[in-house]
Amino acid sequence: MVDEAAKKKILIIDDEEDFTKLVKMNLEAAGEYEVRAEREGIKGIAAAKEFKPNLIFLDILMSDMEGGEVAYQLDNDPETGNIPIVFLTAVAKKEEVREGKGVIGGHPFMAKPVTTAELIQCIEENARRA
Amino acid sequence: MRIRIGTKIFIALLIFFIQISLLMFAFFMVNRQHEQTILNQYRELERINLIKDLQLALVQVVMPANDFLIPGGADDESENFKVIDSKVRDLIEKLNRIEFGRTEEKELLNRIEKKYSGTKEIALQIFVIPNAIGNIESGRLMEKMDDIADDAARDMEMFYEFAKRDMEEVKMKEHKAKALFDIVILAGILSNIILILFGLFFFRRTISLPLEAIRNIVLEIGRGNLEKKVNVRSNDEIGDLANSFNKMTEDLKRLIQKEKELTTIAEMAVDAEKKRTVELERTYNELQMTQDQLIQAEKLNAVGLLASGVAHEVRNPLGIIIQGVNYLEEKITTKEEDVLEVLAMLKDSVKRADKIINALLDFSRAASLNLQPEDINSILENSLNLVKSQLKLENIEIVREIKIDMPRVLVDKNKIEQVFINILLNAVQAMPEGGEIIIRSYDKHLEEIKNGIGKRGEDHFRIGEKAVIVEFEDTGVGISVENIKKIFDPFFTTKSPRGGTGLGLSVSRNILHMHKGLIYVQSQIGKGTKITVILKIAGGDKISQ
Ligand SMILES: Nc1ncnc2c1ncn2[C@@H]1O[C@H](COP(=O)(O)OP(=O)(O)O)[C@@H](O)[C@H]1O
Ligand SMILES: [Mg+2]
Repeated sequence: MVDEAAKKKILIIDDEEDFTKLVKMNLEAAGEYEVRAEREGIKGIAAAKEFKPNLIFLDILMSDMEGGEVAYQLDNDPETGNIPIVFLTAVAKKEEVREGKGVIGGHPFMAKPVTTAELIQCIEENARRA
Repeated sequence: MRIRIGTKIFIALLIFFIQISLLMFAFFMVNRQHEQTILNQYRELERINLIKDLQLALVQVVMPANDFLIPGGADDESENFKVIDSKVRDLIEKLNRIEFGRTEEKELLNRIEKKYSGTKEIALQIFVIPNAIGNIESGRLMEKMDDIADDAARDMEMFYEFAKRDMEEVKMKEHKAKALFDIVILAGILSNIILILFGLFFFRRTISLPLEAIRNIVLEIGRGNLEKKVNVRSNDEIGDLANSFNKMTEDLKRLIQKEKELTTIAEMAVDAEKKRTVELERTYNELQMTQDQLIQAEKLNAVGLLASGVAHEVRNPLGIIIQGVNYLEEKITTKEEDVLEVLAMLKDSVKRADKIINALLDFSRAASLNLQPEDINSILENSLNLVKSQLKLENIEIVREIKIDMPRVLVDKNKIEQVFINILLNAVQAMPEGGEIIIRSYDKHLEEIKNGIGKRGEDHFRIGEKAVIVEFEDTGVGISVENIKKIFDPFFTTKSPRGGTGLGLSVSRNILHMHKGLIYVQSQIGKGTKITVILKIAGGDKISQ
C-alpha cells in the first residue's frame, strides 16, 4: 500500500451524486488517490480550503452555481488560487479536449463521459506536486 | 445725344448735296468769268482790227489826190477818194461806238478825226483846182495834206499801242480765269472724294462694323460661346440692337446656367435614386442573407440548444455508466467470459451514444466560425494526417493532384478540417476491400450554372467568379440514385448503428453553407463517388465579381 501522505488529494465537485461516488471509488481503488466529492459549488469551495487538494475536477453545469463562478472564486482566493482545476463538461467533444483547444478561464477541461483511465491520465498531467 | 441711323444717312446725304451744290455754283461762277474774259478778248481783237483798217484807210486817203496831180493820172480820182472817205468815216464811227477805258483814247480819236477832216478839206480843194498839175498852189496844198496825214498816222500808231496794251491785259485776265477754273474743278473732285471717303468711313464705323461684330457674336453664340459680348456703344438703333443682344446673351446664359443647374440637380437626383436603388438592393440582399443566416443560425441555435441539453442530460448518465463499468471491471477478479462481454457491450453502447451527441454538438458549433485566410492544401494535409491510421488499416492509397500557390480561402480551419475528415472517412468506409482516393485541389472561374452558382440572391457564387475547389474521388461502392438525394439529410445512413450516425454529410453541408461554400456529389454504383467542395476566395474574387 502507498503511504497515506504520498497520496494525491483530489476534490471532485459535481451535482451528479452517482458519478462522484463512482469516480471516488474507482480512483481510490487505483490506490494512489484520496478523493473527496462535493455536490454543490459553495461546499466545494469550503472543501477546497479545508482539504487542500492537489487537483480539483469541477463540473461546469451544476444546479446551484456555475462551474465557471466556482473556478473564479477559487482562483481569486490566496488559499486556493494555486490549485489546478480541470473542468468536466458534457457539452464539449473529446477531440476538442485532446487538441488542447478547450480552455475555459485558463483551465483545461474534459468531456464527459470520462473513463477512469482518462481521469488518471489527466491527474498525472495536471496535479500539483504534493 | 441720340441720332437715329436714318437721320445720320439724311445728314450725310445733305452734306453731300450741299457740297455738290457749292461745287456747281463755284464751277458756274468761274466758268462765267472765264467766258467773260474770252468775250473781252474778242472785243479787243475787233478793236485792233478796226484800228488797223483805219490806219490803212488814212494812208490811202492821200493817194487819190496825189494820183490826180501826177500827169497822165486818171480823172476819176475824186470818185476813189469818195469811196475811201466813206470807209474812213464808217471806221471812225465804229470806233466811236466802242467804250474806252481811258480818256486819252477818246481825245486821240477826236484828234485823228479832226486831222482827217483837215486832210479831206485839202483833198477836196485839190480836186476843184483846174489844171492843178504843175500848179504851185496844188503842190503846196499837197504838201500840207501829206503833213496832216502823217500826223494822223502817228496818232493812230499811239491809238494802236493803247489797244495792244488792253489786249495784253485781257489775255492775262483770261489766263487767270482759266487757272481758277482748273483749280475749282480739281478742288471739287478732291473734296468730293474726301467727302465720299469720310462718309464710307463713318458708315463703316457706325453701321458696318457694329453689324459685323453682332453677326460674329451671333455665330459665336451659335457655337455655344456665351462669354462674348457685343462691344458697340453707339447711341442709335445698332447700339440698341447690341444692347438687346447683350441682354439676350445674358438671359440665355442665365437660362443655360439654370438649365445646367437643373440638369445637375436632375442628374444628382437620378444618381441619388440609382444609388438608393443599389443601396436598397444591397440592403435587401443583405437582409435576405442575414435573414437566411438568421434562420439558419436560429435552426442551428435550436439544434445547438437541444444538442447541449441532450448532451448534458445524456452524457452525465453515460459518465456514470462508464464509471460503473470501470468499477465492475476492477471488482471482477474471476475471468468470467460472459460478464466481460456484457461490460464491453455496455462500453460500446456508451461510445455509440456519445458519438451521436458529438455529431449533434457539431451542429451547434457551426454557428460560430473563426474565419481566417487559410491555405486549403495545408488544411487538406492536416485532415489526412488525422485519418492516417485508418487509411493504413483499410489499405487505402491516396493520390494527390494538388495545385500549389492558390489564393487563400477565408475559413474556420477546424470546421473545414472536420468536413474533409467526414468526406475521407465516408470514402474509407465505402472501400472495405481497400482502394484509392484521388484528392484534387485547384482554383478556377466557375462556368457551369448549378444549384448555388448563378444569379439568384441565394446563390453563393456568380458565374465567372474564381473559387477554390477540392475534389475527393474514391473507388468505393458508390451511391444509388434514390439514396443520392438523401445523403445530406440528418440521420440518413446506410451503415450499421456501429458504423455511422448519418450526420457527417449533413454537418459538412451546414459548415460549408456557413462559409458560403458548396458541396456536390457525383456517384456511380460499383465504380465510386466524387465529392466536390467549392470555397470562396479570401477577400473576394475582385477580378471577376
Ligand atoms: N464516399 C461515399 N461512398 C458511398 N456512399 C457514401 C459516401 N459518402 C457518403 N455515402 C453515403 O451517404 C450516407 C450518409 O453519410 P454521412 O452523412 O457521412 O453519414 P454516415 O457516414 O454516418 O452514414 C452514408 O451512410 C453513405 O450511404
Ligand atoms: Mg459519415
